[in-house]
Amino acid sequence: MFASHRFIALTVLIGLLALVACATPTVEPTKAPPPPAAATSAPAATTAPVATKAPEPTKPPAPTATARPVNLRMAILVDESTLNPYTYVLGYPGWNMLNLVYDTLLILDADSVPKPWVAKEYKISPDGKVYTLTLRDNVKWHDGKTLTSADVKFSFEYYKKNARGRFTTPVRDIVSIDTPNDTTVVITLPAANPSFIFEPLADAPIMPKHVWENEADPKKVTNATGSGPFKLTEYKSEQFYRFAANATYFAGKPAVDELLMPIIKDPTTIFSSLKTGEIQATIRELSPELAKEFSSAADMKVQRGPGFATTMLLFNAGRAPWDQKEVRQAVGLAIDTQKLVDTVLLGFGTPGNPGWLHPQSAFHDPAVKAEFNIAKAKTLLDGLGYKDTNNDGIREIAGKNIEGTLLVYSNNPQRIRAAELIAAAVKEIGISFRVTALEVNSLDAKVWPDFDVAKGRDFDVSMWGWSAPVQVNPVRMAQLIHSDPRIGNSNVGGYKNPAADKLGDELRVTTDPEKQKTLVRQMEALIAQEMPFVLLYYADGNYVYRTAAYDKWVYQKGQGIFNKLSFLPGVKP
Amino acid sequence: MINFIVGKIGQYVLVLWIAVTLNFALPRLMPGNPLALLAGEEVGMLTPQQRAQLMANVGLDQPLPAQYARYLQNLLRGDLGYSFQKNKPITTILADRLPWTLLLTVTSLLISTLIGITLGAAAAWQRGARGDVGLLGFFVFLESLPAFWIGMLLVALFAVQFPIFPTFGAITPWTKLEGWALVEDIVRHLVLPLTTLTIVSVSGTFIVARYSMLAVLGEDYIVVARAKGLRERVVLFRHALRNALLPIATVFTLNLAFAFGGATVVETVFSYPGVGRLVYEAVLNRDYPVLQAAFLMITVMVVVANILADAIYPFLDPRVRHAQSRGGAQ
Repeated sequence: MFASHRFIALTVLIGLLALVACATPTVEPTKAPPPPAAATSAPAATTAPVATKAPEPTKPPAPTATARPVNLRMAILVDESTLNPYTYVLGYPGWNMLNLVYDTLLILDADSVPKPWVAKEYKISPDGKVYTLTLRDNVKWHDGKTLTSADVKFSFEYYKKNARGRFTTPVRDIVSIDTPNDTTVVITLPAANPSFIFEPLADAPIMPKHVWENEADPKKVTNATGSGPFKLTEYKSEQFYRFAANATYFAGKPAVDELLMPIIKDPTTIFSSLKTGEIQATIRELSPELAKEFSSAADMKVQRGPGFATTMLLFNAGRAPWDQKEVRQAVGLAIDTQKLVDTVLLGFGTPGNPGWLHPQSAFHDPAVKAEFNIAKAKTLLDGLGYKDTNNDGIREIAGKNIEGTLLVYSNNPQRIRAAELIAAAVKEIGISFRVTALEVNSLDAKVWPDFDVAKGRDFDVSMWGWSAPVQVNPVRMAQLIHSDPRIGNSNVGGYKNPAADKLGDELRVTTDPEKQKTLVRQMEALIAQEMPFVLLYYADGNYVYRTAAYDKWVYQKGQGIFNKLSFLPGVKP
Repeated sequence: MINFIVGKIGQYVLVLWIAVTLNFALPRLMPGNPLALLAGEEVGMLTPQQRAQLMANVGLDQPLPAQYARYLQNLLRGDLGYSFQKNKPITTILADRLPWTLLLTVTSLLISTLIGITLGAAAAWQRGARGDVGLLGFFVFLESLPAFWIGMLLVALFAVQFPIFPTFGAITPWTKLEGWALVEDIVRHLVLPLTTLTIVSVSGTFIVARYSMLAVLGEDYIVVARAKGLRERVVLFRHALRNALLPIATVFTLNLAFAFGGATVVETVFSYPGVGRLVYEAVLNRDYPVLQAAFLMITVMVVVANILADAIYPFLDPRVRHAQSRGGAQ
């Protein structure tokens, strides 16, 4: 008995040690945040919020006369790290969170059209090469200093020097940035670039020169001084972000005084927490299955609007038989996209426009429409000589079947479901797809090795999609189909067509709105006809929130309710 | 005795070196690379030079043997590296996560071991009776329940339907609690994940305890003990259970080692800030330094658990003690 006593004593001891180990680093609550100091050393073990406040953090937000302060808890799914332009993790919601703290020169309005913001006006020279921006003179950094043209120049040059996918490429070709005075920025480009007002002007955050100029490694910067409507006052890794309203914001004090963003890793738990009231809103879209239940809840509201994120079927256009236009067209004709929307999204979506643009995009040509026609698909394959001679249900030519592997991300049940429906649909016309689910990184390594289209590809067909910003700027259509890897950097399927290259080259330098519209329409028609990919659907954005907590949300087309304007009711850029 | 100890140490060093090497190689053998993590969004638009620069910034441009040598050097200096994703030193990240993970996993391990041993012994004692069959069936049923499902069910029941416990997190993050209020808050957050984890892990211990007891109960010395007229309780606890503890102790020490690896599914369902989820996210994102460090920690803990088991055995079983003092084999 003696020995087993000791055994039990030992286990208890280990348990106690574990408990003690637990208690020590977490009992910190009342401690004041440590001084911001130098951000270069490693953050102190666990207590220090990584993002420190601006040097004068003590002043509380000015209390409004009688109104109760609005505190809002809005859940996110992933830790977005220290939330500077170089560390945030996801385009959504990381970039949106970044935009609470930082500002851009222009801003996308509710229709996703760029409008003046920190720059109160901008002029483009007739040749489209020189942008003259006039900044507001009342934009302050959170530490009280004034945002000037020097900060703008510094930021763009910093992005140019330190690679970060989203912000570096748009400023890469800038020839010069001049700052004749504190509120004027003159940017010269080597050629006209209609994308420039979207990226970087309405996309890249302006960083404070006085904070960043001595930072060699942008990833290690933890000072989150910005000029935006909110200050990041606390960040606890894996737990939450705390933002406080910036009372002196140039566009007015935001309507939410304190925004807490807890990190809840499981979507099901997010919606449970919304039911219990632990959180009052979330950046997570409501899945179609839950939309009905939440729509009928008295204290909640579901806001629905168009989503610009795409879901598509991508062909490896360099591999037989997918290199034949008619085969791709036949696959497109065999897929009933309305049925996909009804089955996979339970109706909460828009069937794909084969020409790429969302039907609600201002640039879309209504004449371009999807066609579902099995008979026509079969005729196309017959015409190419594909016949099912051995009666196995699959067409072949010279003993070779039309078949391929259809890749899909294993973490996306919706897309897996769509892939299976598509495999069943193309079976009808004698084409065989083997649906194979792969983990994200493994799939990317096959379809888009090193994220560099110049490095080739090893796949037949894949489920694919692009995020909303790619739709917002129609000029980016050139990136999707241009055969030069430097221009067609999103031409993941390796599609090649001189006509598409010519159109893309023109579109990339056309600034005249009418001419641009014509070119975009020609591009749409070409994509719909050539089918380098089949656009399956655009899932709607469905966002649910508790109305009592806050209800002044602004739905931004293609992006949803989590945007700067949602917190600045009454401000129309 | 000295030979024995030196031999053991040599063994462990060898095991560690092999493990460290595997930990270095495995993440790099996976398809893909951490470029997307380093470049952020729109990585596809970067020029080849910019990509190369990003990889060089973290030393991934070096040939593998050079990377390996640097990894070993850093390791010997106690430097676990810097996470690509979290932008923090890994030691800081682990120091943040480990206490929560251990609170959850070790507590669960203790509870499930206690329940498992007690019920396992009781079931074996009345082998074949209705109680035994019922318990066995019940635990096999528990074993087949997926953790995420139990977790979601508990949330739906005890957090949403009857709002007794919170739905997520390890503490109420934005409140500044102190003293007992803080302890209460931590416990309230712990109940549901702990219950979930205990439900999925208790069956293992029960089954091991039951079979190990059954084996012991067939031994001659049990017959002798009974023939001596000893009371049933004495036979059960002093003669049977004590001898049956050996395999249970082995399983326990190993589980203790794996407790450092966290409980990914439970941590996900309840957003518990633990190590399991950290490793899972590091795998998805190819965060090599985090993977190396986490695997290393688990390996070291398994080795430590083995040492612990070796140290405990002599106390549990006098035969091992005698064999060792006679200089016998391991």
